[in-house]
Amino acid sequence: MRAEDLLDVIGEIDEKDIRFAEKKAPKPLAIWMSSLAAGLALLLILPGILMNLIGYGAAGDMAPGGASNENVNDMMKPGASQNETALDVLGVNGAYSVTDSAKVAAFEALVAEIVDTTEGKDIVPAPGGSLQEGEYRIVLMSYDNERVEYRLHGNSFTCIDTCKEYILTPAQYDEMKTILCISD
Amino acid sequence: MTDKSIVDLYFARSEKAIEETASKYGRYCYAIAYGILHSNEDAEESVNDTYMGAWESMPPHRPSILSSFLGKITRRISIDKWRRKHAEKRGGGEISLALDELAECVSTGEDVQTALDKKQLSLLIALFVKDLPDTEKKVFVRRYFHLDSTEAVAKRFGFSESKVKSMLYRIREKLRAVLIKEGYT
Repeated sequence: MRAEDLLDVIGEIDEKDIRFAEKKAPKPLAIWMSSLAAGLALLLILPGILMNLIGYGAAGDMAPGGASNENVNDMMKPGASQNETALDVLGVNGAYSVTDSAKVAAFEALVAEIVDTTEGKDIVPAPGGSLQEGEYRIVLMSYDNERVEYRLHGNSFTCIDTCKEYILTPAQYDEMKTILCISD
Repeated sequence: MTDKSIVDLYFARSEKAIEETASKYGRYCYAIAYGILHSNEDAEESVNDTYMGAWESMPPHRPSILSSFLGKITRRISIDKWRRKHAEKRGGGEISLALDELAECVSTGEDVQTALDKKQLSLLIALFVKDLPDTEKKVFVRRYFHLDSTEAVAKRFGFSESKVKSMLYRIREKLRAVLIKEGYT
């Protein structure tokens, strides 16, 4: 079968499904409300975050045998940063980068889904210090050097920048491990 | 005029049917055609051919949703027109991109052998789309039926483009699994 055949038969789908897709989806009120709530929460806890950042850099060494803070920035491939976003993953046994654009996009989409659909728990101060066995530090590094940091420990997923912890569903946890190439 | 009244005109073989269709759905069909062909002249030609196609189909066919029925005809005509123009090479544009994406779902590269195979494939795809969750269904149909760009799909539903690409990637993986299971690839 060719892709052209697939394109042709897609033209024969049910008229109701075609009509359904033509209706524009209104932006859910919940998304606006949660964005507003997140903004207010950030304003309230910003002093705490700043205090934490001042102390975080000094204490951010990894366990013996693990990658250090400095390795995060060194891990970007030379020349790989132009128009690319990458994921740097650090565990106690080493570190690597995920630069496959489909996987990075999948990670961003999964995080967006988690934030939209899961009740996050505030954790102040944000986790820091040495990684434990089975814990991973994930840095989403964009081509303009914007960094967004997360921690994954079992099915606990923490957004460091917003100091929120989310408990992943089994499906989300499996998908996260697949994207980040983490085996149990 | 309601869709039912327009369809009744076709059944009565009244030429007013075309006039009413053009008035109500001319722009809709043009948008689909232009989205594929990116040429005013070709799009207008496709739309006129659509009216001819509709005239030949009704009767006996009585569509459940006239707009979607016309949209299908326009899409088919426009894609055929695009293929004739690009027989030598793929060229650029959304059809090429969509074909490249859909190629991930197939592996044999051979034609679907018989009309029966194609009909069965058609039913399979229709069921696959029907069973998709609502959001995924909308994104899939906009991308691969309407051939909207991923940017246009993202804008339509208020998503980021990366979310749309990610969603489409997952849907194509699901489709590929279904096609493998049914022996099409």
